[in-house]
Amino acid sequence: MEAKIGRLVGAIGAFFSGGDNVPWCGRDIIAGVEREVAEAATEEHKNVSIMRLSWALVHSRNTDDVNRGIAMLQASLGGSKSPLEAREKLYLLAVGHYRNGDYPRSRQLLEHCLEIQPGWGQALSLKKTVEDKIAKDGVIGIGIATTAVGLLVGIAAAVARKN
Amino acid sequence: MRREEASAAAAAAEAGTPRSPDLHDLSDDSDYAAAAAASSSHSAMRSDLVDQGSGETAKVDVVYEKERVTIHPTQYGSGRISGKLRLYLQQGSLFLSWEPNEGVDSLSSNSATMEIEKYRNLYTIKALPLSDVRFIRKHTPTFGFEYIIIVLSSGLAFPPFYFYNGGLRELFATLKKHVFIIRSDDDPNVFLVNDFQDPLQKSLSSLELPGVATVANAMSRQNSLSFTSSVDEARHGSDAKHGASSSMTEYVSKQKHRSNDPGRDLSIQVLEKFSLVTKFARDTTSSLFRENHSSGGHTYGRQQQEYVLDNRANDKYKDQQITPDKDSLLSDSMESNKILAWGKPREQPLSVDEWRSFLDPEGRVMDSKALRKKVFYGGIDHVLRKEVWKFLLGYHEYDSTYAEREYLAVMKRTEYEAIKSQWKSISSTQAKRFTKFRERKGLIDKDVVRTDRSVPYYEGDDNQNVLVLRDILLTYSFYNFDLGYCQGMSDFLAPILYVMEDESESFWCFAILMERLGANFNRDQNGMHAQLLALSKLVELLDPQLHNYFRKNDCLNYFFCFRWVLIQFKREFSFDQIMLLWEVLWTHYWSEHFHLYLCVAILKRYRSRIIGEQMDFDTLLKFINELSGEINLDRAIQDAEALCDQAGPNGAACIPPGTPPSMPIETDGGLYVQEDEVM
Repeated sequence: MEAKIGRLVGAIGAFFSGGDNVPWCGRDIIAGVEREVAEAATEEHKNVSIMRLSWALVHSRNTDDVNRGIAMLQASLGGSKSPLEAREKLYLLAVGHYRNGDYPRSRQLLEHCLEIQPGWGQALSLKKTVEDKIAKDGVIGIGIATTAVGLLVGIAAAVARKN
Repeated sequence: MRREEASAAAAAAEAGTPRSPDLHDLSDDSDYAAAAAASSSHSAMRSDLVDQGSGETAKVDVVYEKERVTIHPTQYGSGRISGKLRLYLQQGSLFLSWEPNEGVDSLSSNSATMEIEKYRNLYTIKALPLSDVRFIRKHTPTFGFEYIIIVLSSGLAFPPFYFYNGGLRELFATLKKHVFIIRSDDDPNVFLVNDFQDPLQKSLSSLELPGVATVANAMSRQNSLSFTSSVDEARHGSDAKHGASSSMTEYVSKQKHRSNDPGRDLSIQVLEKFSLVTKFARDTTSSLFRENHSSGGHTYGRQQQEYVLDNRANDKYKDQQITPDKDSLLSDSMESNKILAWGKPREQPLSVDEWRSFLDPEGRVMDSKALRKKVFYGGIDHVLRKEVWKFLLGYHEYDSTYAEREYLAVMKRTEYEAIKSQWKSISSTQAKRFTKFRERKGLIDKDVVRTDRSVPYYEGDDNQNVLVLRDILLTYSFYNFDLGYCQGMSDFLAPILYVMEDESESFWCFAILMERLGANFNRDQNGMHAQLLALSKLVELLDPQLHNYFRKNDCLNYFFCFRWVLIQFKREFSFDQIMLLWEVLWTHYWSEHFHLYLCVAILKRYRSRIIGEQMDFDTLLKFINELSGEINLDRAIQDAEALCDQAGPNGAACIPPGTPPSMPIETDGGLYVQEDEVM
């Protein structure tokens, strides 16, 4: 019985969270990959580890980590040697901005991703999630704006009536 | 709007012509003279700054110093580490250092203290030359404290440095006196140091078309344009000019494509405008909240809410674990049945007639995806493995012809003999002076005599095939001298040699496989770490309850799956089964990382025993090792397929880039590539 209730709660939670399944990285993973960067045996290993660290940072719960990951990806994006690598970094940048709540920029980055590789499942999936978030926030924004306008109209009417 | 005004004001304040780095001119400046005097007094008071190795000639001039520059390794106030940021001149170069304060906040608990101590050491900056810095990003929020992120040329960044005592403006003023630093054209908060971007940026700007949506960050825009061009060039095989025109054509067609769906784009854009209202409201609220509570030593806002949600999720899982065994067993069996229904049934192996139908008259594979699908679901008839494995491994291109493949075989045999002669020609006298060679030969000699001896092909004494196995491994250790030979490589080569029955072709197929799996054998084990990390993320995604169990029992490193991943289940299945499994994996039909989903499938298959018997790490490791020979391969592949389908793009997102067996991502330091592109 409790298992069923738990599953029901999970299902409802999934519905309201909009199916956000972008993975999270905890502090221990970031520290582990950080140590890997420091201990890398060769330049090649170090670069692979830095890429992995960027991946871990933009998937963090900590805003500072996300901002740091974004800065790293921006710096290394210029050094991409292949479209495949650039698309990977653009996707991770999009994840970072998504985590920061900057959905419009995330969406733009994903569009650039899909220019490089149309039909890439990861980018398409995140783009749908981002657009859903934009739509939801947009509806809330409409509500806020409408409420503000309503308040102004009400105040104006009250003032007019008082006069 | 207030936020934008604040940032605009900050930008206006920061605007100014950077001074010439000529020190001779600066010496006439009275302010600089006063600063120099202050620096001298500082250096006199802190003799520890002088590097003893440099002797008397090494004079350290501290030109900037600021206390209470803080990093936040965790999102809790108690996790903040405060320190001192310095800029100093030494032998004509400018260096930066950040040293955390001594002592620990007494409010911290013991485990938190140890954690913070670890981060303190990890993030200390002793002597960073400013020439290694790529750019500095400044962030001035409407509420809260300013911070900077320093990014190195290697692409590595330090955590944000928060300036609790202010002083950020003075920092940039000091930097401008000593190094070449300019504000980025596209982002006023980014200050480029040792800038190499301008020539690239200007050349790429000419490609910009009016009306094309622009990314706020210039770097991503420039480089995405660049890669679109390179894709066009690769596609058309033309020069840069043609690439540019193709790029423009693509943008025009993109515009048309966008106009094809005006309703959706328009609605998204309208909602985007209104979502900015929501974002402003949310940011203002969370900033005010954070501001109010920062003095209390806690950080509130989005992160806190997300953490609370995570806690609730944990509570839910905890409740589920309290569920009586009867219910859990029922749910397990239901889940098992569900999984069985999802995976497609296994099929017959690829037959000779089917294989011929995939080939055109000249020998090209017409539909590689259909071939890979067939192999994924049914495997390969053994008589065909010799031929088809070369395609799956990538030794033969799918669009190569019979004639091309014969030519390739001849060329590769010659090349193999040349590499082999490198060690064959070493005399015993020379070997005495070649320690690495002797060590590797010793390792290989020990390993080959115990690899798959139960298989008739390799059994008995004085087996010629064992000698060939040894020769190939020795040749590979010279071909890839950096990697050399590691235990486990013979486990990969033995089935390949058994199938190929030819020394040269076995070598090249093995070498190509090692291109993908060689990272498993790196000394620093970064390839293995990446796969085990991805595995933990996949289990978290596909079976949160099992993941939670592993976390509580300190099994999250997944080292109990080490052998599975290192040699891709070689010791878990029979020789015949392993050939089938590997050809299924090599199709990359569902994923390049299908072996990880196979791990998850096997763990899920046995989860009721793992959780029911409350296995700790040692017991779990023993249990996993004893599963050898007991796993139903067909069912495991079906389960893994179902899980891979269920995970979809979210599963791929859980796997970090560059995780083996993906082809390694070739990256160089951005600095070098920039130079190349500028030339």
